[in-house]
Amino acid sequence: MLEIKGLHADVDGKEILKGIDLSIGEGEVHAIMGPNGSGKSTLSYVLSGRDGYDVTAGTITYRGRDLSELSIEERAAEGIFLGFQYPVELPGVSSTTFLKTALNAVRRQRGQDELDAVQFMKRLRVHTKALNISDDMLRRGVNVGFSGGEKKRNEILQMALLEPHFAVLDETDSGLDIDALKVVAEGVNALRGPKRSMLVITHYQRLLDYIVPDYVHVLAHGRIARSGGKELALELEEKGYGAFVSGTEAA
Amino acid sequence: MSYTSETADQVSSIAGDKYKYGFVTDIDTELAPKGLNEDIIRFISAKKEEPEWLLEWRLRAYRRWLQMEEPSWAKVEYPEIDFQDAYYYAAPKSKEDGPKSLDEVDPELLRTYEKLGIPLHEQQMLAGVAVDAVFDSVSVATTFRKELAKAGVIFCPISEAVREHPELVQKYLGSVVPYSDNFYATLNSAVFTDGSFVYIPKGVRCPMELSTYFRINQANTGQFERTLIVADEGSYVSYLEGCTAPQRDENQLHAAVVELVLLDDAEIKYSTVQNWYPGDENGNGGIYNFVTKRAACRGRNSKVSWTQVETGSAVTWKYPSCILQGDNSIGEFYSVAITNNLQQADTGTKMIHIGENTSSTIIAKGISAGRSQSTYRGLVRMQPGAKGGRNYTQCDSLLIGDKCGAHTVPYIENRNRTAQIEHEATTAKISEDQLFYCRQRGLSDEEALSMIVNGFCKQVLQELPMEFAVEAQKLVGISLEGSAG
Amino acid sequence: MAMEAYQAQFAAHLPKAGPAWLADLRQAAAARFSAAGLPDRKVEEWRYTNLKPVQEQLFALDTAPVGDTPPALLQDSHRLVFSNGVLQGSADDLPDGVRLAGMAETMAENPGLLAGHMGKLAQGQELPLPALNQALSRDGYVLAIDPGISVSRPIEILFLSDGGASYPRNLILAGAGAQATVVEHYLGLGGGGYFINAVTEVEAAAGAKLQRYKIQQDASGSSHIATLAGQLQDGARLENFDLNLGGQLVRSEIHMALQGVGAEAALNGVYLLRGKQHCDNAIQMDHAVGATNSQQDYRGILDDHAHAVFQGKITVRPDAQGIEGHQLNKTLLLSDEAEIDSKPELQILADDVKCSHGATAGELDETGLFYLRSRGIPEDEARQLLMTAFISETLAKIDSDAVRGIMERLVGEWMAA
Repeated sequence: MLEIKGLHADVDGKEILKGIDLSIGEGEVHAIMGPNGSGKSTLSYVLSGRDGYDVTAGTITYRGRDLSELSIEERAAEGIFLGFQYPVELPGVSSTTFLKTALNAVRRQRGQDELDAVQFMKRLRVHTKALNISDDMLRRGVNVGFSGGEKKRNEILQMALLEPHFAVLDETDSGLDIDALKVVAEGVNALRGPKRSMLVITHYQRLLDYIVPDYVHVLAHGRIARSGGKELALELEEKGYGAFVSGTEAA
Repeated sequence: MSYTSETADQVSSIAGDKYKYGFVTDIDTELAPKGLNEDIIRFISAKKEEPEWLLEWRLRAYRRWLQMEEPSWAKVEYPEIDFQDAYYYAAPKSKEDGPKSLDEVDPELLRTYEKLGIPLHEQQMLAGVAVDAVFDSVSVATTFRKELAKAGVIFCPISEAVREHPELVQKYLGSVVPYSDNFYATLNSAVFTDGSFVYIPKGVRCPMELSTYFRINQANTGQFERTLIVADEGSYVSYLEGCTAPQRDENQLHAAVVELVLLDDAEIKYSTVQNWYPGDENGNGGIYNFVTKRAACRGRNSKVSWTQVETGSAVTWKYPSCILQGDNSIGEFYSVAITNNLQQADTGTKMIHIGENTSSTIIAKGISAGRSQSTYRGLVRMQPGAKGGRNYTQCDSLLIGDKCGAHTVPYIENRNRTAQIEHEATTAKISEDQLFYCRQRGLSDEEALSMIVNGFCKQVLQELPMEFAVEAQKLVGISLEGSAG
Repeated sequence: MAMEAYQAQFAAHLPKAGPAWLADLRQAAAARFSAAGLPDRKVEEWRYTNLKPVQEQLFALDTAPVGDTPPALLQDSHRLVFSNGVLQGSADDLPDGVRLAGMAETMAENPGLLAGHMGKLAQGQELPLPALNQALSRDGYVLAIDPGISVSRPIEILFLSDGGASYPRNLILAGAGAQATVVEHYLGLGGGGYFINAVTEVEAAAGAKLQRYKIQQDASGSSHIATLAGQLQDGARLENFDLNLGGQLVRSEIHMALQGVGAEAALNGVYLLRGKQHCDNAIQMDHAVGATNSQQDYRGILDDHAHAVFQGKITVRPDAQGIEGHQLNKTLLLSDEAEIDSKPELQILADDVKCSHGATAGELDETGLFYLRSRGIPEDEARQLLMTAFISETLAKIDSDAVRGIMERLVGEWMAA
């Protein structure tokens, strides 16, 4: 699904990612953990092609294609989805309009027929019910006046609608209490499947109790300091990042 | 029926049934010489079979105009206009002179119409193509007419009103915008050739939305229409105005005057979507849109609401205003002004609070892109008698790209202790985060831009009648083309 | 007043001796003023202020000093006292690297310090009053601080007036990283009938930090026109506060240019007016380069027939990216005859900006008043409490505790009067 080799990336001329190698197979869920400033969010922006996040060396191959050729929206159409740590507010743009426009834009690029209002609403209803998203939320501006939990549920709703092949979830747990976390995790787990891969970025092990990864990687100082199975997360929880961070510096 | 097809019927009815409905392009083939003098004004007046008082009024305006100077306070720049180098009474191009078919029309223009979802026959009409097929819906106009007449509503060209309803016209014409008001309004008073007249009788709620569709078709002409709407006690009317003009290399002047009179408990909702030709991306051509619009809320509890979406014109100079004279009267101004390429817009409103407990709301959204300049200019004045007056103003500017300008020039004058004025304004650039978020969900940069800007304008767009709002939303996206990324 | 009368004054007072550049500067200023004259209300910047009281009368230039000097506002300050425009005595205990002296004295002793600075910022065709000041000024203060020097004691300048015309010409030159606090106190004695036209030019080099506070208590019949023209280089900061209490016709004009990256200006003020007082605060905030910040907060209370004007303009020049500029003007009207005209203006020519302005005008919040009265506070007291709270929000922005204390006291006295 995704093959990252020797990836270096700059932000504002400062090197943040310093040689990342990562391979994610179909249907696999990988978790990236790491302390603040280790480059977790930078990795998610590089994968989605955000301006200002410049790849200076290395390659990202996604489903056999070099990602660097693709614009942000082309990557989205190719099935890359980024769940934002801080979902952006779009005042005046109703959630329903936004979701329909996005879904049809992606469908158009994928060569599928656009959905009319009725087809779209039918599809939307299925997901809003599962994620406990009220009509009021859909009427409001995208993320405007949403609570932390509502924002994250809205991200999962978008993911469900857009049906990505590969989802990057950037600190989906931040700002959530335990009940909200469960709802969001259930939403994510419902979307797991043999054809869909995920990269779950988190600071805390807690999220991984609910979204159980196949592999865990520790990111420190722009490199993957260690990789392992899900038990690695528990080890981290116990020992903290200290060992990995200093270890990387020594290397 | 969508707004665009409504206007199609409107325009077709004009061609098929001239002088009967909506805005009329005079189909007279006579042509007065270029330039402006008293003889031209006498000629116009004679052609329109006007009474002596109106000719005198025009001449007074003309003599006054000769002594006036073009205003220079607005933040707009344009080459000096040679007022002697235009036709003030010109027959429109006859059908033979126009393009014969769509093949002869600039494809760029046609693409724009396509994007607007304007049907083909209407595209032909908008492009100035001589077509016959579409002009057969006279019956629709007649139906409207009957229905309106049943309600007692008068809706006709102002030149017809001068003949048919002289007492109403003489009483109200120039009573809101006097002939001496300002340079362009004075010029308009001297040379106006047509426009709409609306009278809604006491207690009548106009059974349908009235719409006028303006276009400048003829080269080298100025357009000087004059609209007068009188809403008698307890009446209501919603009036829509749409404007387009074909693409031409030279600049053309549009100096209109709109006067609204509201008596006790009357309400007028006046909506405009202005999409005059803005000139090309290098600033060649385009309309100079110098318009005076003013409403007099003379009656108690009267309410006027101006909603405008200004996306066209090379230069816009326009301040739809409210004189809140009647106690408890209400004035509203909702505005979206979008400028792109080298467009310049200096627009806003004036809220003059005279009566007690008068209130006004101003919501203005300015969007600047390309190398354009957009200015909000507004006056809120509480006169000493405006006891309990209230104003709330919110004025936001959005910048797209680093070569454009956004300016805010409010004048806030309070002479009454019990009156409250509240004004807020912000200026910021379009959010990088918002664009990224939308594009990550698969929207192209232009779709993302259009969606964010529409969201920014929502407070204003939702004031428009439904069909108008849909068109305006599309127009927002189209106007900003080329400014994304 | 007829231009001839001013020209006679120019002829009598333009310098006969001293450096040639000064003579040129003053000649040019006299010529500019002669050409422009006093602005009338047709000039956009003067649309709300009528200079009639100044126009109708020619004020004498030589007026005898005022008798007694009142005590200083601040404890432990470096102090200069001007009486009807002319310096009396001198400042003492100045730290090394700091010059605080009269303009006339400096011109005689060290004209090189002033050359290229005096008249640099406050000039141009659109500024006829600073031109008049330049042509007729006899004195003022000069504060020059060497780089890296921090003046720990505040500096207090008293302008004491009771007649004639005075044209204080002041210059503050702060070297890189220099710091100082300056209070300009304008105090009138007697009924007024005099005219002050003051100019203060401020140049702050990189990293300089200046606090400049102006307390204006001119006599009730006087006309007070003041212009502050400043230029801030990289990382320099100026906090300016204008407290306007006195005068019949008052115009306080600020032209501030943020010329260096990281420069910041906080321009705040309070105006408390009654009777037939007129006070016009006109501010031009120029973000000439990127990454600069400005704030403005002006508030006032108007009683009787008072008339206040606020004109604040924020300009962001092309390519000046990364700007924040905010502006606020709030006015309370206590009487039916009072008037406020507010024109907060934004002119933005770059896109990476966060600019805003807000303005309110009206009477005291009735809900607040009701709330306080429902808690047993008598109406008059409740009103005073709310008015004080309204003004305090702006006073709270004053960095200097000592100066804030003085202003709070003066505001309290105005409320109680």
